[in-house]
Amino acid sequence: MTDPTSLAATTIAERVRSGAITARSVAEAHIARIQNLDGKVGAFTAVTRARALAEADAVDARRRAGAPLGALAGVPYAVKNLFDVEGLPTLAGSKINRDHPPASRDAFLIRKLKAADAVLLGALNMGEYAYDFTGENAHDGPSRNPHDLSRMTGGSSGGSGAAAAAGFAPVTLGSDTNGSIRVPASLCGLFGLKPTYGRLSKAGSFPFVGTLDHLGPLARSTADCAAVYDAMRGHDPEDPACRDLPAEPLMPHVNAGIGGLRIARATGYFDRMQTQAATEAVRTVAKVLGAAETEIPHVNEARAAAFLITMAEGGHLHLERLKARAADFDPDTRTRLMAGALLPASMIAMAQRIRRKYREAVLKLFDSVDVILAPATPTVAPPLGSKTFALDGQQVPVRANLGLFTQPFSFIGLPVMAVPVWTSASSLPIGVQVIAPPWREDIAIRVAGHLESAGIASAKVAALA
Amino acid sequence: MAPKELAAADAEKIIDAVAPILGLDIAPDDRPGVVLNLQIALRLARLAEGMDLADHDEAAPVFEA
Repeated sequence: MTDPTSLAATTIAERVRSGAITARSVAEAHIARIQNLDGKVGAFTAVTRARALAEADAVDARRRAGAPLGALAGVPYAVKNLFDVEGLPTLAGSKINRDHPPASRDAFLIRKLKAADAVLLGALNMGEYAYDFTGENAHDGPSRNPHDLSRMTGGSSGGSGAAAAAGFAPVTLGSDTNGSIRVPASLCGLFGLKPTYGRLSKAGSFPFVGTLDHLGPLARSTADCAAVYDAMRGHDPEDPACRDLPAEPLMPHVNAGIGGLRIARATGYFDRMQTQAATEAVRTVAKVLGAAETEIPHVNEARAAAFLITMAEGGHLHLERLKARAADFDPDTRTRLMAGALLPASMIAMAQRIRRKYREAVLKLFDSVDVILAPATPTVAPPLGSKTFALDGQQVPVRANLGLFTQPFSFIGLPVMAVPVWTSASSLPIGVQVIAPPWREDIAIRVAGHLESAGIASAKVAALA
Repeated sequence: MAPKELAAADAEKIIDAVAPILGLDIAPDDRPGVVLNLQIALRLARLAEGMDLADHDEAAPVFEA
């Protein structure tokens, strides 16, 4: 019998529905793997064992009674600890939030997954208050990359990347403000979907920068990202940014192929500041897709503007905590937030005007292309604890630069699939971003599905033991 | 002409002038980190200024009544 921890979410759901396996056996296998191996990885901050078993038993009971089961029947998943989980304080990677009362109900997306009969395993480690690209955390310790435990997972959804790559859960949820789904997906060798801004409800998640925050899945296949996204769709008036637009399911698009799509690799900014692995990955993908080239205008200015808005809005959001409990922040987060609170207003007004102008320029590009390709990170996973790395002959800070290539796309809310590629330049994976026009997640999924079936993009469970 | 780089001494002046207005107490151990991050922010602001905005280029977030 196949070890359930190696199975895809879609396979688990199929087998649970058919009665080939029970949801309880799937949950127990994942919990056992977490108990045996998470001490090395650091993915979880809370394992909701009793809840998981109760949810799994309820699925099995309904099956026995002949009741219909949801699309994610018995699929185990875990969430970044900025999602509200009923009964747990929502840490958002911080020490300070440990004093918060337990959440009184689940976040909107968790309620959606529960309605689809998925099984929640617990809450995952993350960079403090999501202001992070490394996956390191001063309070909980780092999440470690399952493919090389001496290296970073990337962040801030570090535990989300670690858990899916370690086989602790086939799918996890993360958040992405400037790249926090796509960076760990890249470093941990996973598929990661950052939907269009406003597509999925953020209600019941701890914010970072409201106009840049996105939520989405990380998984070991395109189909699993699509299945989880499909289950989470739906308008939610409790999130003021959530748009009431029809969202067609993505599952029918996974194997739809790339016929008729005009695909181009981003050049210029996206050709610089990267290691050989990043270059090889994006060029391999571009070649297989027969991609043309395109240069996105004003990327430098856009990335700078995203950086400033993040600093300022983050600094403002946390100002009262910085006043009252500065010493309880992670030192790496504290000084950036403090500086953000001190920035002149004119810089931020400028950055928001740049955002609109850059959006118009990129939307114009989509008149002539349907898909843009770019590296997801400049490098494979750096060693834990490293503060700088070499790019284009200069030493640059890790924290600021892991998001060099993701920030320009989340800035204007475009849907992006990060797909994992294994190159000859490294034994570690690295991601490529598949970027589509607003509200066209289906296009990004088609390209990711094609790359996966062509054997160019793939994810695997790390051996660990 | 505004400077391209923010000198550490000028970043210290921003801290001394603005932090008390916000009621934010910045401990001596944190000052070098805050200075460094202000310098990074100014460098990026200079880069962003290359965008050449016109009067009618409005901000991105739109308020809906």
